[in-house]
Amino acid sequence: MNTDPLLKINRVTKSYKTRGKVFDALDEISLDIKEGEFISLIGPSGCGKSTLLNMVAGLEDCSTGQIVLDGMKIEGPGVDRGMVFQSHALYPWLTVFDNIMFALDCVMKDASKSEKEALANRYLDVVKLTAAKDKKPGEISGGMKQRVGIARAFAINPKVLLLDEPFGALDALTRGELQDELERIWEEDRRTVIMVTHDVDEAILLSDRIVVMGHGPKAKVLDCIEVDIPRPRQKAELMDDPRFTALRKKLVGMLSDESIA
Amino acid sequence: MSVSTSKTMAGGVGLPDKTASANRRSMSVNTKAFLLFLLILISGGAIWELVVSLRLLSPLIPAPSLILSQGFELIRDPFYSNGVNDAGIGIHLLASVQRVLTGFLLAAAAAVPLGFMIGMSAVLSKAIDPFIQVMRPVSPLAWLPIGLALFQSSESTAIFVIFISSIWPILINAIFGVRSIPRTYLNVARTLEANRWMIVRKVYLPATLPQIVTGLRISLGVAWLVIIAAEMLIGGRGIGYFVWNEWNNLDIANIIVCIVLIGLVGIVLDRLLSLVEKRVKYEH
Repeated sequence: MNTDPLLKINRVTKSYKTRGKVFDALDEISLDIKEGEFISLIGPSGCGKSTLLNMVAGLEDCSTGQIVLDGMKIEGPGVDRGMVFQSHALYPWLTVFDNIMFALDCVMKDASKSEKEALANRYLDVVKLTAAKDKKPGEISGGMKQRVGIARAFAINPKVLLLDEPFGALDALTRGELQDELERIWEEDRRTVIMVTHDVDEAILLSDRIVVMGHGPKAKVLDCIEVDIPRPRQKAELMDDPRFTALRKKLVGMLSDESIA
Repeated sequence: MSVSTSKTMAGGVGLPDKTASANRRSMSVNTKAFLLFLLILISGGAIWELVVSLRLLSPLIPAPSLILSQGFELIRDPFYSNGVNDAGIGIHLLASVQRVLTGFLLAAAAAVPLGFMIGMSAVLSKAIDPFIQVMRPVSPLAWLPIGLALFQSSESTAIFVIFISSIWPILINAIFGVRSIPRTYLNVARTLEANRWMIVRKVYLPATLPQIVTGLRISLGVAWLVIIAAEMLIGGRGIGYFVWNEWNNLDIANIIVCIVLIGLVGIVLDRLLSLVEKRVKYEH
């Protein structure tokens, strides 16, 4: 594997101007992410972790600094990054299958229809939604919608997957189920992932490294914590693992200090 | 119309559930509503008949029995035509429907793309808004002289008036529809590097279609209201003209038949678009 980082976030800041006042959301964030690494961004709400993810996605500009993906400076949204949105962001007028086809139609302009259909079917199978492929998003559960979102992001075969609190809007049971599922899917091809979350357990279960951000304004990276628990991991088994308990305690401690501060 | 109305009424004034289920012999809400409808119709007609026969009303007002017989006479052969001034009521109705549809379709063809263009730009939406706000409350009939001056033809003027009356609801709904598309829908398309045309066709259009069709439905309703008055002023052929002509003949019975027919055609037009509305609607 290449030792150069696949994604380089280099002294990135973000400031907003609201009513003439400048608000500094992020302060010189730097982060290197290797190929095949699963990174979680965790931090108190309002710390700008979603902003940072949107900047990697190219949906927001960096005020200063730069983000480089595979040697190319990020200047806007691109198909080399696949985004899973918190609000699933499926088109309600399209079926599950067509939602994935829409993404493939945008990305694989030269591929044949049957090629794209085969891909869509494959990823629907990966997220176990083959039976629901002809349903509209309004007819399936929140967990199923998010599975479609994940399938859509995986199907376009991006260099980096960006997950913005992907399970934040789900009930606890569904969330746990999908976390295990994401772990399973990820094990299959070890894609590079950046996930924003506020769920400590989720971060530990899925990540190689957890990036803890401090509170804003001028949010900084407080710490990068390696998760040295061997994979594949299962949520149920993890709960009794002393390494998990220790990590969890450390992270919760850091985060509650930050929320108070 | 009557079915949906009775449902809404039932929702508002319905009896508690246990009464309905406990009393097995009780009729369904729809049956009750229908019977009440008949009761109101018949008793209303009877009172009217009585009032007329007692000469309590202006002598011009006809009795329901006369209206019924004349109405039957009117619709017995609706499509006869003995030259310009003597044609069946069906021909007049069709002429009106044709004008309405022409003006309406022209308005839709103009307002939907225009609404998209305006809606996609925050600056343009704000800049155009004052024009729309001022024009919207103006009765389309005020545009009639402008139409006559522009086209010097009564047919084109009628279509022009319908065009003006249809355009505002369609335009407003298209603009509003585009402006209220959730940001994430566009972000998804952006992250997929969808081109502008793809975004318009695959995101903007289906996302706003329900709102646009609602605009079309409102427009068509307004257009059908306006055409009657416009034709009264313009003359020639058309149900509005026919009504005015019957006033000149002092034939109130025929006018009342026309009022009912105008209402029925209005329902048909509205139903057609409500079918389209159901087709394009989506659930989040």
